[in-house]
Amino acid sequence: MNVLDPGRADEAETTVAANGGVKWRPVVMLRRALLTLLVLAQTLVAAYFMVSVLPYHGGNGLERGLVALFAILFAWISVGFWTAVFGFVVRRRGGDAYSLARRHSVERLAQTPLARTAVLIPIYHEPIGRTFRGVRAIFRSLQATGQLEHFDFHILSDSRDPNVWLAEQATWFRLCQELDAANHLFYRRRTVNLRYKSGNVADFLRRWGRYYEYMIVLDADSVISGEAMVRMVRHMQLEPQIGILQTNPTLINARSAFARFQQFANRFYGPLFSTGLASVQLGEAVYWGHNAVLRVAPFIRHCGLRELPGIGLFKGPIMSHDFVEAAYMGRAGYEIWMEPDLPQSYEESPPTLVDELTRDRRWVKGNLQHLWLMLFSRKLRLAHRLAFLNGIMSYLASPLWLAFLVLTSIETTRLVLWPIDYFPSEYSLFPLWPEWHPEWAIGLLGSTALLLFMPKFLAILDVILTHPRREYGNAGRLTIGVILEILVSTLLAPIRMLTHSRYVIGSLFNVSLAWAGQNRTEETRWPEAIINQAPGSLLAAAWTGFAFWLKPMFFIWSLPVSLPLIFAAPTSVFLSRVSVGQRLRRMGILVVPEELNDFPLLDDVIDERILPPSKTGLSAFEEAVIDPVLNRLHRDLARLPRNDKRRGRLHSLRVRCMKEGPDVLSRRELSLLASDREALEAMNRTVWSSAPDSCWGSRLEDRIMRD
Amino acid sequence: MGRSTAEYVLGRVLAYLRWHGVPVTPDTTRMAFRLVEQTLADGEADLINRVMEALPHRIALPDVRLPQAALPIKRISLGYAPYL
Repeated sequence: MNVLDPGRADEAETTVAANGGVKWRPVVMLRRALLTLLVLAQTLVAAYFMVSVLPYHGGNGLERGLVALFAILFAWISVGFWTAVFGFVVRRRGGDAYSLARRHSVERLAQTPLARTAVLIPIYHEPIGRTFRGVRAIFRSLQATGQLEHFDFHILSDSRDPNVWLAEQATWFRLCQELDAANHLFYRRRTVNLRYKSGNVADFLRRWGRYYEYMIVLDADSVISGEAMVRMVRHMQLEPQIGILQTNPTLINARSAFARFQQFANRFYGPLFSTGLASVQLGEAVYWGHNAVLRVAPFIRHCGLRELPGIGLFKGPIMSHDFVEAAYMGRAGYEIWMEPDLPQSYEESPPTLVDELTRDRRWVKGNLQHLWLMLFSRKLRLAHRLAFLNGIMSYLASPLWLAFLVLTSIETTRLVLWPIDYFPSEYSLFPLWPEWHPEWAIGLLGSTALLLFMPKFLAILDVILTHPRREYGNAGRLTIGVILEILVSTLLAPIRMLTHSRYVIGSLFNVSLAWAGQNRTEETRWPEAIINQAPGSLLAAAWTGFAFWLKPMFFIWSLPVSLPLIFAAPTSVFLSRVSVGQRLRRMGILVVPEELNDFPLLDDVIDERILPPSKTGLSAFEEAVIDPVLNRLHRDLARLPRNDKRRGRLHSLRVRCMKEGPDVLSRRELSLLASDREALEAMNRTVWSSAPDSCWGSRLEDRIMRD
Repeated sequence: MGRSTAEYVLGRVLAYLRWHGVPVTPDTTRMAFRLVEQTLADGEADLINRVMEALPHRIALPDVRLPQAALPIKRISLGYAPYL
């Protein structure tokens, strides 16, 4: 079956008319114009007050720099504020009349035939039990809809460590047996990891893309119900002009305190922001790389990612692929929708601050690369260029804030230590008297705080008006949760700012970075936290000490930034604690509706009795060598040696492994052996014939005794 | 007192059968005994190796049903538009 048809913009536009002629473009233009007007007007007023607050009223380069930075940062938070306000208004009006979810009745959706869909789960050194339990839960949920025949699951592994990928293969095998899923659950491991996750998906499409009309891309921590997937595909069937339909995944399964704060914020404030965002994007939304359905044919045709041809950061593979793929799909004439009203789509938060910041290191570099695409790519839609800008600003805001603090410190130092400059401008005939209006400064600070925190209060109002409050615990506990969340997000903001600033500077100088999977399970240890946070803590202590020496008032102003940085290590350790998170949960604080109601989908994911790890005490490599059935499986997935030279090398490795055990071989050497069919078979034969007191014989006897 | 080689070999044969999904019934145990006994009749040297070599020929092991890892490949190229 070949489902590929060239996707063309004119065909897509024709289809829009055929689907009831939903004219969303004028509406979205109007909304964006309103948003721009509000942000600009608010920023101009704030910048005017900032000029008035400064002692020389912007009369020197330093103050002009301060005003410029302030205006950029203020505009940035103003965009967030108005997005939340838009979201609040849309939700209070009962939803967006132009949203995709409201176009088709339940009956029409139910009558829409499905098409062949691949569910892709790219993985790289992920926790195996959790990942496969997730796949299992999604598979079973889809099975329950009775529509499994239209879907195939493909686990696409990029794992390099043989003890990880052998365990993945063994778990896939167990899962196929348990679910009787042999013809719907596939596993593939790339031996050459080019271009990260996007390369993994591209590799799949080159080989098997022609089988499928759609692909649903999931992350290792994604959970999505079968019903949601069926509904997404039906929407795509009814709207052929849509290239990507992105759901708005909700955070679930948070255990540590850090993850529970993220989950609460996402669940509580998220609907406002996502609804607001969707209202100003409509059919020009972005793709977030997972929990989305994509039309395969146009994706193959238009969304290949060339390496960047520039210099430094802007040369080489694109690290953050999703925004770019959405932009290319848009360029090809297809619509990209983000639908906040598509339910039962979930993901997990990084469990600790360290994990989040590790992930951000990749994202910073990836998002900054988009600058090149934003400026130089041909024929991209303006909305997608702005989406690139939005992603860049998510991280660039941090060094701008840092620069603002540096300039503020210099300004204060100059005022305190330097003589007053009555003629800041070279050509001025009249002296300029420095003025200080603390009441204006407090007003400015208050309005900035209002922009930051008002959306949170709007979210409370929205919850009170929309849901029964007990979905988040009772009113008292809900309020405590909000207060704690505000406190924690205030504590984390300076830590994120300083770390992101370091990443941005590192990325601009193109410092190499490791691409590692998330931890997702372990807590932060004290040495790790201290090593990570010490530079920031020392810097903050020095800065606030200087502020104290300089001027007590400046010292007080510095505290909201310096104190969280000074105490970053204990904050990081404390928030990573699962016991703290679980205690809060037992107290009914930071709970989300999924935790208060029955949620079988999540129960299957968290039940560690399902697909438990091997308790034989052997590594996955040892199991692969010893267990005759697993050995047969791994042989089936392995390849034959390509030539005699390789065969000779494998022979010497195998002899060494059998004689001295696997511990004397490197990860690469073990991987070579485990990837080779002949070597696996020979090792298994040797082990079962080995003397009980030999290196492998004793392992085998232990294994038999434990069985 | 240490186990004899024959004890180890019998344990291995039974484990091998069990891991292949063969239920260890009195019948299969008897077959395993006979295999070890007959091989032992030719001497104790290299006993483990000889028993394990003979095992698949003497006792039928069920086929391991392996899932299909992937569909047959149908190649296609991705489209790469120029940047500039």
